[in-house]
Amino acid sequence: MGGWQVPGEPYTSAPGSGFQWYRARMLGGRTNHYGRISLRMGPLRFQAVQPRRQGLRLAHYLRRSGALLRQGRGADRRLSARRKAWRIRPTDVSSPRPRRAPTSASSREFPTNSRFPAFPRASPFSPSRSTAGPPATIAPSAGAPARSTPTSPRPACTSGLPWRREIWSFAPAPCAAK
Amino acid sequence: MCREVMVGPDGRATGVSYIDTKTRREVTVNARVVVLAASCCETARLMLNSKSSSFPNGIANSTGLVGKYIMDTVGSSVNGYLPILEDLPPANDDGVGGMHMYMPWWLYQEQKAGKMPFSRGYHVELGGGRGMPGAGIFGGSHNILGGGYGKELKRDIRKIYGANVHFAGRGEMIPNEDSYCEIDPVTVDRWGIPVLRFHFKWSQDEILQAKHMQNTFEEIITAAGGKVTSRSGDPRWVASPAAAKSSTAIRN
Repeated sequence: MGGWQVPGEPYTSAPGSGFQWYRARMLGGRTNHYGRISLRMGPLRFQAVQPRRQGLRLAHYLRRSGALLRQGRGADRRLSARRKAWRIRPTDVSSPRPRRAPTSASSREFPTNSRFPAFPRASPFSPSRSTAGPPATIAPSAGAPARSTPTSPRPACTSGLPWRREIWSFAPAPCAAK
Repeated sequence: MCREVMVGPDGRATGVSYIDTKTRREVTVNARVVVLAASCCETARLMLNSKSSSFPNGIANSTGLVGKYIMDTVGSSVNGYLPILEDLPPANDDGVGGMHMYMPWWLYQEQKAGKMPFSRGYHVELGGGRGMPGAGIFGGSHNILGGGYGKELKRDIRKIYGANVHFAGRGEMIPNEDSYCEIDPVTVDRWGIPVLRFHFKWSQDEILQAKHMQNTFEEIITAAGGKVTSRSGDPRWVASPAAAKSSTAIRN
């Protein structure tokens, strides 16, 4: 929504300038408009330099879309089963059903010994969260005060690295100036 | 509709004054903290409109830089027709351009060596293929066929559909002193709030960058044995305000 001209809200242009101003009028509090696209600005986007960028980014999206991905994989399996049914021959009917190949998008296959855990175990965002509620213990680490309240959104740190709220990730603290 | 930030005698913000859009009356709200997040230009407008004895040039504008150095994206595009793509077997090309293909800037070394006539780079967005046609006549097929009828028209469209390609460059502008906004001394909006007046000027950097885009795209198209069908800046092509914007700014 929006437009190059909004009724009742003019702007002017100095002679010879011909500047056109696009006013975005959007719903949803966190949208930001760039050209024709609206980016969801997550904390990771504000990092100029970011180690293991791809892994972190992927994890960021997977966290939100885990359920969606699982649905998609299910649909793929059903589709391929249907396709195979066309090629099946009578002698194959009794052969055992092939085991499902592991999928790389599974959250459990992310390296858990990584310096930047993609899926902190028992994170409130993790698909593998147990139903018993947030974990009771948090590994103590320098610069990361223990969680103050059980309802705090801060995920448990399993890597010994401090949780850095500004980048919404576990990461070493920035080096102090010498 | 927010009008201005109110300032106390100590020079600290005390709240905002706004026009109630239903009653059209001015209302003042006191606050301990005021956050301005009205988008880039609207925030500048609000700051410049917030004049007081502490801030005669607008709030937080002792440097006079509020509203200065406006930047836009440098944009230019070229369309071409590639005969090598004619008569390909029908396929679903939805998504091959746009979302899935993109050329990042590649001439860093040349710029470092001082061989380029402009600073900063651009990326290339490209399009083409046999995607789902939009409203119109199969992606401007009539421009190439010049019209037609019946079976022959269908045959011709099947032949040429998907042979059009599109390259658009989007580059970075260098901020300059001639591009800024200020409060218009006479014009107000329907709430009586003074509006912005824009000054804008591309520098040689942007013009040369846009020329480089056009030359590069033409080179790609001709190297593939095709020909350029249209380009931004061409008055025949300019139809939308968006296109007009880039074309008035950059003419090859």
